[in-house]
Amino acid sequence: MMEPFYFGNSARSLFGIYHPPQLEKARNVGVILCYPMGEDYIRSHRAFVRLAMLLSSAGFHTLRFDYYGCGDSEGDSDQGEIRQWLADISTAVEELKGGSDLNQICLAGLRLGGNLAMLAGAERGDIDGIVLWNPVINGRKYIEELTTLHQEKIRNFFPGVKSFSEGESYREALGFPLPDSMLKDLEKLDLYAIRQKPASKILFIESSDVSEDGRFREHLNSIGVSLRYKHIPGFEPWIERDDWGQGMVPIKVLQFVVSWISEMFP
Amino acid sequence: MRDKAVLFGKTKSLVGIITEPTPVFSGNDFPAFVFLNSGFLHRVGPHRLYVKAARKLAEEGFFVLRFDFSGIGDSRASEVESLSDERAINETQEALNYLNATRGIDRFILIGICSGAVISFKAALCDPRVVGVVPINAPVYFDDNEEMRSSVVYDRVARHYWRSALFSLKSWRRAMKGKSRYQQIIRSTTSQIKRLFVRKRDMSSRANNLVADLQVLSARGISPLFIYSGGDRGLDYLQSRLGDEIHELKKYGKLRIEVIQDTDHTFTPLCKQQHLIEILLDWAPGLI
Repeated sequence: MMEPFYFGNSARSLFGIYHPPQLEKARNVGVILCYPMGEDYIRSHRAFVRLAMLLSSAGFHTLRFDYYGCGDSEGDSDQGEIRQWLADISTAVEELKGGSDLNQICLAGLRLGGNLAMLAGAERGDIDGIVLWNPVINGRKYIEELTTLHQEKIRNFFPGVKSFSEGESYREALGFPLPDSMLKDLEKLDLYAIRQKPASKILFIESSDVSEDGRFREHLNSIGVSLRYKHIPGFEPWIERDDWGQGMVPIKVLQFVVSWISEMFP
Repeated sequence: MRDKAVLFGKTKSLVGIITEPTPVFSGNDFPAFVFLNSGFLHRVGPHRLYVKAARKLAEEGFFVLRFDFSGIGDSRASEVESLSDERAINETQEALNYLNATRGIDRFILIGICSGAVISFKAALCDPRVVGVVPINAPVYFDDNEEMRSSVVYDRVARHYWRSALFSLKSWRRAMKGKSRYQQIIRSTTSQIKRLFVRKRDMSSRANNLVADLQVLSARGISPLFIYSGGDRGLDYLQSRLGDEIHELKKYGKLRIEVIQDTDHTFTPLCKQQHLIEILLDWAPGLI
């Protein structure tokens, strides 16, 4: 039976859902799911619920939670900061460890959540495994992508309107604010800049049609990571399907993630 | 932090967040708001709009519950029943029961976008504890009559041809070259001419159910606040269903319609999200 709850500092409460292990013999391994941000979060939420259920069925203590200023957590949508979200991941790690006798912790993140998992792992130095699912390799390109998608939506729905945010085309993206502080944070994102090993074992999985050209895999190998790479094209849960506001649940990708974690952390 | 996570319902599997009001403003006279899922989106709402609205309403003294129907968001899927309006209405009533049992609240305002709008309206009809209802961008599927839905969609297409394509030289040139659906133009002309003669009678018969429903709510002192994005097809549907009676209904306070221009179905622009919340904050004190 999953348990929704608030945790962390009372001034910065975070909303989480704990999925206890379902097998009789639970593993002493915890998995923390790291959502992406903004509209990516809304669209992929259903996929994360499913992933948490599969991990729980496979015997893992699983926690998914909303960063400060996101989802059901405290804070306004324009108050998010990368530094704060990394602190939130650490709070979640301590919360999961505190409630269970765990030997190992894995982080699994999609898009920006993948970056946060890598940065948190590199800073903390005690994360055992990371699932890196279509991360943002370069922050500037990510901002360009968000901007393009937002402007396409504006053009489709509101011909003649250039922007709704007083001449600043970057100030909002797909229904979420993009304040200057967040733009500065995003611009700095560069996965190649991570030189400290974030975790000893990493699954780099891509589910978009086009795969990374191999240079980032070389980078991960160069910092001493035990790397597994998988490309399962055609499954992008952060892309809206059929005007539902939701992405699809990419069950093949989720099953691969669970099988890799199960194999690496028996 | 004024948000609390709760599990409720027969099997304690419905996940909800209660936003508690600022105590200095709140009182026993305040009804509680209950937000219903917009389609498959979980209880934070499109672009986190439900969270923003809930916290603003709580600042004005209202209890607010946002929850997921079973099988949506974090609530476990029902093992015995598939997703249906009837089940969603039952679960809405379970939410009201929960708030009544744990907080002693016995008056409620239901609110939802898209499919949540439909459930809010239907649940309001069958539960006397509901004192206000805010259907937002209620889609065309307001009842189960396929013929009626098709008719409204057809009217919409016909009106497009009547208003724009029929009087456009470019459209006629395209038709002459075989590039336009000229049958559509002929049909629209016939349709619009017929409308001049039969519109009132036709619309009146269509409106019966909805008008009757509005009368039921009105007898209980409820004047639904319908909010639409400008150009939303649900607005066309409501206007077609009610026809000329819409003016009478508005005049006697049996419904209120607010239209937010230049926005899409889920209120993507931030300034339009703010506009929607302001409408709610302006309207809600009237129910205390």
